[in-house]
Amino acid sequence: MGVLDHIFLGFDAVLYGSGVVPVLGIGIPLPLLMVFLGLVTGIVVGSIPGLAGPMAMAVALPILISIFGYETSAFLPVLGFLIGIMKGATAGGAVPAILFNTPGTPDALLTTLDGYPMTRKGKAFKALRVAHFSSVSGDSVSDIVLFIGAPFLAIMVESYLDLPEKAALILLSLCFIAAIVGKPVGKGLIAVGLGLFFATIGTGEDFYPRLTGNIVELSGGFPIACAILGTLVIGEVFTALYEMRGEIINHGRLVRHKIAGDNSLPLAEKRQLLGYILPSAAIGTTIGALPGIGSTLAATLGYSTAKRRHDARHPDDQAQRFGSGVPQGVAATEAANSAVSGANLIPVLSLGIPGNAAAVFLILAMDSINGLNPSPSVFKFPSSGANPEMVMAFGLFTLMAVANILNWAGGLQVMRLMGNMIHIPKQILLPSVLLLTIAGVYVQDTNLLSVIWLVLFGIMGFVMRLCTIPILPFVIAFILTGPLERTARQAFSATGGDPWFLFSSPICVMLMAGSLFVLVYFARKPTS
Amino acid sequence: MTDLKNISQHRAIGAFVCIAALAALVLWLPNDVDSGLIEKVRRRYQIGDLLAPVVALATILAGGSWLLLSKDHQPVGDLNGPVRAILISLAVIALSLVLMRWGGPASVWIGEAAGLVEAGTGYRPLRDTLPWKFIGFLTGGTVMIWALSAIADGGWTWRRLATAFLIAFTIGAVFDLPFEDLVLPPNGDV
Repeated sequence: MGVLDHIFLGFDAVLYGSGVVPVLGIGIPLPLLMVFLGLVTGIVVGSIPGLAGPMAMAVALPILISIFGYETSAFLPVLGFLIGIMKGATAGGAVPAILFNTPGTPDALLTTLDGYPMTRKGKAFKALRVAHFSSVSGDSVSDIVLFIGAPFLAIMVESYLDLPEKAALILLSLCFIAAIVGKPVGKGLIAVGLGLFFATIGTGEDFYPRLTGNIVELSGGFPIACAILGTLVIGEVFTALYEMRGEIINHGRLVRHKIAGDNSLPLAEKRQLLGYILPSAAIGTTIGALPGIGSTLAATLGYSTAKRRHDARHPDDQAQRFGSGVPQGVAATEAANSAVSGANLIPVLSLGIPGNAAAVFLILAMDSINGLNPSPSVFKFPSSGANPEMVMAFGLFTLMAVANILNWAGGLQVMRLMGNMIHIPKQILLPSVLLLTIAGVYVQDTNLLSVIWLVLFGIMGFVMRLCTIPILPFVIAFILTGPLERTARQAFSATGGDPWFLFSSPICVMLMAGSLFVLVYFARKPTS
Repeated sequence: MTDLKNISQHRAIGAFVCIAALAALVLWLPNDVDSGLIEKVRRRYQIGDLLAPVVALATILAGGSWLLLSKDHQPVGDLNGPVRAILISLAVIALSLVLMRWGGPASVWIGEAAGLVEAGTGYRPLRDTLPWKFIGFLTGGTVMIWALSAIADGGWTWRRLATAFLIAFTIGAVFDLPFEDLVLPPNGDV
């Protein structure tokens, strides 16, 4: 069977593979309904300052598994919901950044630079329209590249990368994330080292689980959800609670600005914005396709590239410069960070390497549910019949396209609605998120010890934030330690115990040299 | 003597992680991992369990040394605020978890004493029935939300308490009512 057959089977799996749910008398395929619900949830969550997509994905995953189980028929509904959240939250994140100057994520910080000045000028709805249009456009470009490029890239990966090369590639992605997110690089390396170290506790191949100090409860290692949610979510809650007292004293209540003048976004202006959206989407897609690099870099590069170009065109006009409230600034950032999400699935599906926190939860879901095991074999053509994993992958791509269409059709309306509704005080929201996360972790493990691990990892996340040590390299290293150690063990054995197996081929040498290069290159760059 | 507050932040972090990583390398790893870096099993060489933690600690050491050698001059600053904040948050969470764990059993004991529940029943047979299964989660959850939010803005009001109860109830209902398989804390442990 060829590519087209697999694509059609993927459509088929979406439409008929998981059953149909009657909604108002009309039968709707379950995966499509789940994408819709996930998208709305994502926009709502993204719009609430203090919440973010990965948080919602983390809480939703155990509930979804409890509803749908671990069977293959659960794969598309569960992944559909998570993809909906991922895409919705990316677009929704612009709402608090634009309306209240409160970015929920580092990517949205760049949206505030021009988005909030537009709000102060009375152009809040126009800024939301620009953000939505750019976000969905960037996302669409990225999904098209994913659809076309993923199978070929995966086949290329399979034919060129053997076990030593795969180990070297994981090392390269860890160096990338340490170098790019760490400011300075040393802090990124500490975060990666901590992630690697904590993931080794209680694991290994010996009869005695290593580094447990004879504590029986540690013999299975730290639960992955506790480590990730603790550092990502609980650490953020602790930090925000600590910072909030000063914030309330300094800034008082959230300020709302009135809408003034024409807030529409005519077709001609959309066409003009495409000049900023498409280059940013290309940047976001390229960065998303590289393993281990997240959307923050994409947003930064997209914004700075567009700023350089735009400001050069308006050297004397201060009102037209980036940062003064120009729609092009919002467009460049939103297109770049949204374009990461589609292309990000290339390393996720073909190598199991996540590029950002949202992808971490997609991998966790794929690991938990039968249907697709991320590896280059996902896109391998069998000698006869269909490859069921490739069918699932194309089903997943179909759901991403559906999420985009739904976002094009109604995302803006949900974003506008949320703009009028988000008045939940942060001091109540954050403890609620804490309780929600505790309940979410408990329903997975039904063990209070997991809650204690969660809180301890939360303290670790708080201390890391206090020391400005980035969290994302920790999380990605924690996830990748298992695959890295397994691949390295296999590669070492396969090369007959060669201690230089990481330099055993020209590709290996290139990847290892690349690792060193990114560390040295980003170390030489001054930190801002 | 140099005041700790005036030491460069990068150097303080670098020194701390380097000392911790070296201590783990020298004292912890050799005593808590069974195999070495490389092992010979059935006349074939294999990677031992020690290699991965050594690589992890070497990475931490490299990052720490990087910070020690950096030219940052930003001082550490006052640590009392964050330490106090995290200790208060932890105290509230600990109290909430104790209430969550013992709220249900305590209410059953009271119920037994008051004659509402048959004497000697205990919490375990009732942990999947209303209202007992909600009592621990609601008590602990309400105190957690109420106390943490009130500490943040000083709003120790009855209205805030009612809001906290409502939120805890909603979260409990989201997990418990639609899904038979999901168990709220602490009902899987008792």
